[in-house]
Amino acid sequence: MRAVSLNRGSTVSILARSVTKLFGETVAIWEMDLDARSGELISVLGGNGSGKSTLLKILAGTLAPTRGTVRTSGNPQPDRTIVGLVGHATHLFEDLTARENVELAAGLAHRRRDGALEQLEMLGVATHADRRVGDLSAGTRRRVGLARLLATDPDVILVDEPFAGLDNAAADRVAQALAVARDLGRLVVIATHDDQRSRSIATRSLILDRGRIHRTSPVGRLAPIGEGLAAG
Amino acid sequence: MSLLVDAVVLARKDIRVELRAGQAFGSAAALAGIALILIGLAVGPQPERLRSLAPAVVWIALLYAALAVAERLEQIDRSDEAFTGLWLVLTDRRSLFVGRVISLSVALFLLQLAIWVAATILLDLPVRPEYAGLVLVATFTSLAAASVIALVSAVVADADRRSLLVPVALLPLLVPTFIAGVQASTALLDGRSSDGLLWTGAAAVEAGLFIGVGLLAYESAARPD
Repeated sequence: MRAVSLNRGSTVSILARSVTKLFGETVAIWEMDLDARSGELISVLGGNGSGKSTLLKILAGTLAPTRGTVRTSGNPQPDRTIVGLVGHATHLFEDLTARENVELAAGLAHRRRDGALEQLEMLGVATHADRRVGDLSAGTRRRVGLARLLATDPDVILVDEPFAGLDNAAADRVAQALAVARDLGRLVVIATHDDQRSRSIATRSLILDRGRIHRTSPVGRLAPIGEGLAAG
Repeated sequence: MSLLVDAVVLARKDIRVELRAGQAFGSAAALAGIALILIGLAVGPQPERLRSLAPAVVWIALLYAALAVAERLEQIDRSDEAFTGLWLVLTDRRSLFVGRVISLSVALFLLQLAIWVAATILLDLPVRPEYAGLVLVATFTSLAAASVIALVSAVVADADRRSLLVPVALLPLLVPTFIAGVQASTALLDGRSSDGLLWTGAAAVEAGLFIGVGLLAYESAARPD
């Protein structure tokens, strides 16, 4: 059983080189390079179809690039024990309760199972801990999905649209949880449309346009999204 | 060791979900009951004929049950990409295969015993000491059928016409288990214990073969995309 904050002295890095992903003749990602390491929170911005979700799946290793390489701490295959992803799906079992889902994932990751309630509390969904996930609203499910991911305590946290479908209070909770993960030395990459909220927690932002990095900037020096881009 | 521990956790999840919903197990048990009642009505009070038909009836009902339970578990896994979530978190992904083999085996074993009890009552089969051997038959045939179904379900998981492909792909692979199960139980009903053991051994060999193939091939076959 690994303790939650074990081995945080070491640095985890992701190095993507010349990554291209084609779906038929459609370009999802084109010749992309990315360097990222522990303690960073990178916000990937861009319009619909700009390649944000595809990029996260490639970094997670659930989608193979057509060309190029992604190395996680030097390994050609993303290490399954250190990379966690919440995509558009929440990866939850509808017939299990929120708590059971979080405990199941934590147990399989060989992390503390008794921390499930803490994670649900941090994201403001502890009151739903013993409810069947299939009976929860979409926003609550997203937060339970994120609690599930955080309970597995990966070194690299990839989250697609973490604030989608959430009210302001819930979105702030999620932002806070991601910031805590960043401060604990995890590498966090989020794909989002919520430029303003992501600015408050990100250390760096990338703007994608048609599968290419259109702009990259430390937070605070980024022009509002939409300039020269189809935001959406 | 981690593989087995994780597999047991996953099997418990499968069983818990099925117990909570009860869909596949319930419909399979109902179908088996209906099949037994209909065969009893069709054949009438002919004990010898009923005894000779019982193993085939039990096994046809059981194969339907196996498909229903496997399909239901796959649906649960694929809903909301829950399977991808498991895939990402596991250290050894073969535990997904072993876990599914365990949960399916438990379900099929219990169903098989329940169907035999129902068959004994509904078809008025004589109770003999050799019937205890049916527990062994149920153990190995359940393991054989579960390993085949778990592997094939993973291979065709993302196919377009999955519900059609699964039974078509399974049919040839399950024939040996079906024959071994029918022959072993027929032998036990006839009081030929040694023949029953021989056919049970055949099912055990098939189980070993498919568990071996599954351990080697599962990760590349089941990778979500």
